[in-house]
Amino acid sequence: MRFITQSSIFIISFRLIIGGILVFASLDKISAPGEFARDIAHYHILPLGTENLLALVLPWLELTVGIGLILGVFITGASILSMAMLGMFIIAIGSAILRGYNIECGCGLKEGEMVGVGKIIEDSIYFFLAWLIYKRRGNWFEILPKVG
Amino acid sequence: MKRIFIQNSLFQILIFLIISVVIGFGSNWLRDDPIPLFAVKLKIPTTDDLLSDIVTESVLRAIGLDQARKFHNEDVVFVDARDLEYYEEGHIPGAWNSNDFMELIFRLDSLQGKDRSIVTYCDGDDCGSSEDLAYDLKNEGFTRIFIFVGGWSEWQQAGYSIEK
Repeated sequence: MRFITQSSIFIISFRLIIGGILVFASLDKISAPGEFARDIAHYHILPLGTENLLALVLPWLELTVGIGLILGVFITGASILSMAMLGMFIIAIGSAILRGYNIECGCGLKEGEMVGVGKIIEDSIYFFLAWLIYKRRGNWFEILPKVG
Repeated sequence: MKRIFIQNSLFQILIFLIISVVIGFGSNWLRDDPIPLFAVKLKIPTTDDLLSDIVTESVLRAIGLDQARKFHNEDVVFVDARDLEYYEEGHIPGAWNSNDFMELIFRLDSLQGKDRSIVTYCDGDDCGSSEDLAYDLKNEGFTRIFIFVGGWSEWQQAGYSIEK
């Protein structure tokens, strides 16, 4: 993996890919938080109607983290949060599949996309790319430099 | 060194979180159609709701199998919110398909206007498309919308007639 984490081309490409996906996925959710809240509710994971709180904050987190990755701002924090969000999506989709739910994913990338193993594999690949960004060995095109 | 790295990482995460929370809540507050901070459960219809032909307030209501059966016997329009392929495999007798939403609202409006009962359903209480469809119909001005929560699964399990 070292040759990837040492390669500016790879890391910048991964930042643009993950950043672009997060920004794109956030747009529909930001424009219609009510619909996104219902998508979250269909997973039957969150208690006490808290899906609305998540529906208000998560899309903006996706957007700001995505912009951060693209522009090179707080890349370490952005990559950790990317992994956290993608991990959360993988667990949520996995639990829906295990419980036999046939529901819309609410992922924001494609209209009417349903939960499924394919979606878990897709998110796992994104998770891996975010992890490679986190493990990068250079500060290429970063406005705020890597910490530590 | 590691401690500083962790501190800086946490600081960055915190900045992202604070910005997202502030903009998320702030933008909702500024919206024309803000959502409540906590989701409200679907209203269970009262006897008055069910007896009244016309309601002025558009509120979505959840109904169970018995009430769905009663509505079906009263020729209330049922709308199947599942994908067309599932609809074609079998549906509640007389139910309409929602695949073409614009055609659906045109047909509903032409047949009975916007203030008569409509029942939406999907696979069962784990699916969400009946609720999504109900909200879409509500946004189009329909006022008396009931969501049959048990949906197609419960209808089949009860042994009621189906149509293919």
